[in-house]
Amino acid sequence: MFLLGSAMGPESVAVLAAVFVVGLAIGWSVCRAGWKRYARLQGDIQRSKRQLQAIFDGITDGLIIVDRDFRIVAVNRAEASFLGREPQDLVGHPCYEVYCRGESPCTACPAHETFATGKVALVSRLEISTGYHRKGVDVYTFPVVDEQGNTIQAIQYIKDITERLKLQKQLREVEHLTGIGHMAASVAHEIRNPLIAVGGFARQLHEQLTEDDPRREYTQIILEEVTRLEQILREQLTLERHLVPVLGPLDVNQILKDVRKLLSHGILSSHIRVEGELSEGIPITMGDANQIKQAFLNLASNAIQSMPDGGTLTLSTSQRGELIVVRIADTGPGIPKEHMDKLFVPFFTTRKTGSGLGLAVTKRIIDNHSGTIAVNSVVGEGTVFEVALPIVRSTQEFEHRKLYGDDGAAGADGSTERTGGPA
Amino acid sequence: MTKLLVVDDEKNIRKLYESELKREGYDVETAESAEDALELIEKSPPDLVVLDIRLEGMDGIDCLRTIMETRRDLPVILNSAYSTYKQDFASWMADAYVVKSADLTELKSKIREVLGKRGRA
Repeated sequence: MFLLGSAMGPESVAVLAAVFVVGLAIGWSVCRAGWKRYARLQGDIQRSKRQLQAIFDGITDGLIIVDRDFRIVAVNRAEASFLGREPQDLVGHPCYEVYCRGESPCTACPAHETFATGKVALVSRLEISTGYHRKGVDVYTFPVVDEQGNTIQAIQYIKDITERLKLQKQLREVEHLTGIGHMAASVAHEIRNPLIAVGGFARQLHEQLTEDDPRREYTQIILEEVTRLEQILREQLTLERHLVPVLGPLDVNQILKDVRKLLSHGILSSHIRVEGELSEGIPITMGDANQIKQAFLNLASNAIQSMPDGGTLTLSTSQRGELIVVRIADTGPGIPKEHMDKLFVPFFTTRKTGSGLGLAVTKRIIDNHSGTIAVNSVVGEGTVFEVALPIVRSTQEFEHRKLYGDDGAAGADGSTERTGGPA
Repeated sequence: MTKLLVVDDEKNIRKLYESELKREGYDVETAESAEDALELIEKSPPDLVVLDIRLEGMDGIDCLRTIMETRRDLPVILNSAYSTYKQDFASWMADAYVVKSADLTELKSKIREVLGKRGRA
């Protein structure tokens, strides 16, 4: 520079200096723009990372990313929480240690297939446990590939199917029990008549034997055992008839009209006035018309029998949101407080001739239709039974409600409510 | 002699009822179906009918309806293995409802009671 400067004139030095300064300024400006872009990109990357993390943690099913050695690279909050650990405490640990306390990858793990083929793999109905918690899962694995297309990691999506498995199990049990119930009932019916003949003729023999005849002991045993068998069969036959509803369109108003028609014989003979209003425009719902008719008949029958000296029976319908409400009220003596909790218990009765099954069967029918029964009784004034049936528009919806219930329907768990008590 | 008609599709039950009720001093006729019973009632009306509900062909409740339409004054006792038919109001048209049992004491006493009320004893 000094040599150059000594060979050049002062003007040339000035130009050179100017060029240097301008070059410096341009270079600074370019660097500054590059840095700004870099910083912006960094920001974008960080934001994307946070978004991905939020998505990752927001998913309520389990997500784990493992490398080819099955070491956990990342785990979302839901899965870490199931494992009872913080996500950062799990990173770096082999997943087979965490889940199976094993020394090598679990043979059932679908990640083997994903690492081998680079494709999505699934293993369904696995059970995983932490020692404290247990869940049934479907595990899907998705490949994560590098620039060359090699699978370097696998994302494991662990879908919790515990609830579904539980429901499937319950359904199988119900189907099994229903089958058993039907079989038992048909066997019971077939046995009943021959048993009556056996017992009846045994009784004749018993009566023909003289008091001191030693064979009387044997005929007595036959009679006692026949009586015991008859009792067992009677209970079996009674309860079975109401197991499975036969579905069809259900016009609640029409059913109540039929009930009223059927009642007319009993009512006329017992001086009971029938009142009530069937609300117009009650929608058609889905259910077993015969069973529902039976349920209403049972309630009305109880109402009438509670008024031997006459009274008023009120039958009415109304719509309350997505519920059809049927009220069956009497002006009888009311139900004492101590009986209220036992009303729907099978074989509970206060009448000498009652089977104690009417209300138990009624409740079972209403339960089967995902409905509720509420009782409000005041001693000395009367009793109101209120049946609420959900408006169901299809067979599928009917089955769905039976399986899952409906949070929107009041008391849709089929429980019996007591909305009031005796005075 | 007071005449009873027993309607039941089980041969041995008919035999048992016939034997037991004859011992009680009744004249007993039997029918194995509702259709046969209606024919017998038409030809020679009994004083009381003991009617099973679950029958082949027409069931006991429909048979009861027909009797009520044609012979309102003929007493009928429903007799079924199922007590749940008691909850069917159609069964209220009958004079009594007795659940079938090997012990016929209740049935015999209901027959006496119903015949007594109807002045046919």
